[in-house]
Amino acid sequence: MSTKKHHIPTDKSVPDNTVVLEYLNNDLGDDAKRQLEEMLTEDELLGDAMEGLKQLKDGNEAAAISSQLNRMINEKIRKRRKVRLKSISFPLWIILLITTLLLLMLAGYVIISKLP
Amino acid sequence: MKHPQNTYTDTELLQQFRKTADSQWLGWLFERYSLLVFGVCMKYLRNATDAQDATQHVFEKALGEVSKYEIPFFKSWIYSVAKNHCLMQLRNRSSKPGTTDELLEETSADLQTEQELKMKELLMEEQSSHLKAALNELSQEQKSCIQMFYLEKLSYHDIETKTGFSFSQVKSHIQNGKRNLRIILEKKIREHVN
Repeated sequence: MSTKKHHIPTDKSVPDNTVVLEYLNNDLGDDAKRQLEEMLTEDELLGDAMEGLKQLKDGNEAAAISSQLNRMINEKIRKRRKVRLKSISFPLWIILLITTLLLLMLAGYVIISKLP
Repeated sequence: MKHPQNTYTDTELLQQFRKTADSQWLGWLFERYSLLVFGVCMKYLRNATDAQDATQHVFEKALGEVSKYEIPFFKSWIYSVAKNHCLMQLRNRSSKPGTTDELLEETSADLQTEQELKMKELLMEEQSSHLKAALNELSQEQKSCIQMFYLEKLSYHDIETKTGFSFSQVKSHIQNGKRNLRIILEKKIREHVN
């Protein structure tokens, strides 16, 4: 009987990946295993996912694939953030041009207002 | 500091993304589902490489759509996106029409939305004659899997060992058994009331 004490928080709709991987390796404690199996019987996404993951050799293969997928996700997110940052940051010359124009307008206003 | 992936709900992560327009929130949300979405793809495509490609495609699609639409239930939404993508893939595999038909048939049964039954409570009242009679009307496989899982509290692995069924068969017998049990019970209760 396994003594590991992983819990699946009841307020969460999906178990952590580590819990799923431990289940696949048959390393999950009895209570957590029971909790997960009740969840997968009720939950279509979890049930289908487990059925698919069971086709892999073991939890280690699933863990390797999971890291690969997370790397891919993070890469896409990183690229997206970079593009966004580029799109919102003005080039320096635009800022300098706007500042110069504003200063010229201000100087013009001062000169005109001082004319008799 | 705790990782936001572990402390925020799906809805909160989406809200944070909308508030800040920072895709990192989506990254944390997607990571939560990456393994499960891969598992779903694996179930339908039955090939790890195809399933990985499909998972990648699903998240690319999600990345585009999450910013365009309001998604109230991310979990159900990502599940449908993954499932529909896999079904499309299967339809496009013209070289194996037999396998595809077989799988689609199997899937269409899954697609039926079923209102979940409070099985545990019902099975606690196993003394109920209706339930006993209903259990006897199930197929032998469904009956034994339901009894072992809910009454004897055995794990899937134990049921697999005891019966020789695969994980998928155990899951399917329990899910279908529950559905059939509900239908039989409803019928019996209606007859009893009339």
